[in-house]
Amino acid sequence: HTMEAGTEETSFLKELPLLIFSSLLGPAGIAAAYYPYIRNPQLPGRLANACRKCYRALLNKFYVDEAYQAIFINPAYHGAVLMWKEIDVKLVDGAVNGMAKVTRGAGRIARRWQSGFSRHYAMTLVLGLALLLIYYFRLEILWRLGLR
Amino acid sequence: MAPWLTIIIFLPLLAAGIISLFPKGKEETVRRVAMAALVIDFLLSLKLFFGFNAEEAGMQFAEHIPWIRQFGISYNIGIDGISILLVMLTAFISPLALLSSWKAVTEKVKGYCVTILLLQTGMLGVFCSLDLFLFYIFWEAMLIPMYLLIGIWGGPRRIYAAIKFILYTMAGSVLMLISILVLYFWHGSRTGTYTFDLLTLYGTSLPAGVETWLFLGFFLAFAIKVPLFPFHTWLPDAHVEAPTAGSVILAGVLLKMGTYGFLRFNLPLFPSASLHFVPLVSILALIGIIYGALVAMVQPDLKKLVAYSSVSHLGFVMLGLFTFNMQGIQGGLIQMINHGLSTGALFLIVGMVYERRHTRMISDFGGLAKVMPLLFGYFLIVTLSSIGLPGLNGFVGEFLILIGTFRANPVYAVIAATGVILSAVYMLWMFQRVMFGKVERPENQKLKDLSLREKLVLIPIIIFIFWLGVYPKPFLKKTEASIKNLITQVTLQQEGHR
Repeated sequence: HTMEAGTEETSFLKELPLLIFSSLLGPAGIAAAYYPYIRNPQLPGRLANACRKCYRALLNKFYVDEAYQAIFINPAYHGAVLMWKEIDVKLVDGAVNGMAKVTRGAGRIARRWQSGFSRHYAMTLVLGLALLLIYYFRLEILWRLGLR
Repeated sequence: MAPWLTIIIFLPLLAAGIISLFPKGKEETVRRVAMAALVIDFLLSLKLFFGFNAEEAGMQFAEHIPWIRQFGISYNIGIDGISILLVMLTAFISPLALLSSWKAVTEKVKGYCVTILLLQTGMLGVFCSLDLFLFYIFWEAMLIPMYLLIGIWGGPRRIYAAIKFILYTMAGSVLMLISILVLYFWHGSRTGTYTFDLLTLYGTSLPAGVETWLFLGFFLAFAIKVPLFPFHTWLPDAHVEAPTAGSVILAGVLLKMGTYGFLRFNLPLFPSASLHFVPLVSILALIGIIYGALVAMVQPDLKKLVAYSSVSHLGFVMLGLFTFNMQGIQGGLIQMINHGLSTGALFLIVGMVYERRHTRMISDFGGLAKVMPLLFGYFLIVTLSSIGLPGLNGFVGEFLILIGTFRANPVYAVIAATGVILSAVYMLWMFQRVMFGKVERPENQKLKDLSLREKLVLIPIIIFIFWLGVYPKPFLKKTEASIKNLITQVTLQQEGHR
């Protein structure tokens, strides 16, 4: 499917009320600040005392920053640290290093066969030969034993 | 027609040979010869770029010399829309990396330069090889110099990191070798021609089971290299312990070989399997994007942070490549270049800071913008490029990838888009902690700003960051024909299997 650019018509008339409203908001704010802070300086103090909680909420910007911190930032940060320490370091790297440990361990066990004594090597030869012969003649052996 | 590709690939090798004959005590000359070789290599690669025909989808500047006839091995090289940009990137980054380490590496300088030159030959060879055997040789050939680079000139835990790097990557490569051999024998027994020639092998029809296993064999090698989650854990260690130039080349070029491998081998050789594995790869890519970004956010070490950001960024690339549409693949390809430039620059800057303070811990910094305003400026541009700010190169790739992903699977695109937010989070927060605020520590107060050499290293990258961000067309155009060809190849082969 193709992507088409937006093709809505914007009617100026629809935008007009919004334009007027937002243009008036500025002066309205100035007027709202002018009265309590210049004309009637006691008003802000009295309003604040009338509702201490409201004042504090407004002062702390409705605690939005603190809410963000608690809901998004802290969980994300601690979650990420957890992911790093548990998944990456312990799980994934653990698997990788674990494979190395297994290889080393297998080597340690296999090394026991290298005793340095030729008689042990000769024994291994004989054992290996015996196993080979047994495998090669397995059917014959089983038949002779009456199992086949 | 001169064999330009061969010259470009093997010039660094020749230079390495020449350098190794120099006696001890001639370090400066050694550096200069190596630098000259790399710069000449880059200038020659420009010839490739301007001589490249964007309309042609097939291989250009190709050379084909039968090598070991009995086994169907030939010296078969060439570049197309997919590899040309990567060859340019390789030729561009290496001289900058060498220049950045001019003062930093003072021991075994001859060996260092030789290693970098050998690495260059290996990397260029990988991108140009059209014969599977030759490709494998070059692939392995670039592992050893990197291992030496990390293991000899690296940080305190360099041996662990180097061994981890090489064993991990080699394990994947071995499975790839097995897959190559299986493919070789299968094709040979079915068609009578035993050959390693990639273009011939493209047409091999394979039963579903075999194709799946071969795909996975190649997949592992490339997934480790990209790095795709969960095969990524070698990267943070390798980057932290590697010398600056090593990190720059590792992040700038070596990681792209994984993604290139997918485009060049997995997709065209095993199209049905590729299609079959799209959900798996996409989900791993998405995990890489989000997980990489989140873990990057909480890293106390600057280099580890950038390392994890690479995991995140290349997750985007992988996501784009496996959309199998033009935007996704083109976005992935251009993002490979972009990542090479921005992350290369990031490591260069981290290296410059490290040279001054010998620490990479974010908590050791703060307020550096006041002390080093030039570094601050360059660092800011590179950070924003990494985030993907529109107007800079990162945005072009990211946007194309997201478009392509949305076409293929809107849900994936939405999840990936949140990764964009996270990349802004970890980069900007890091930038704030390092650059802004008051200069708390006395050690930070007297740091020197960028020297001429350091500016020379960063400015070319900055130029491309802006150029690719504002006018990427000349670069994108070169890739279109080959990508279209690839998509047709994959989807048609797919039809053939039904």
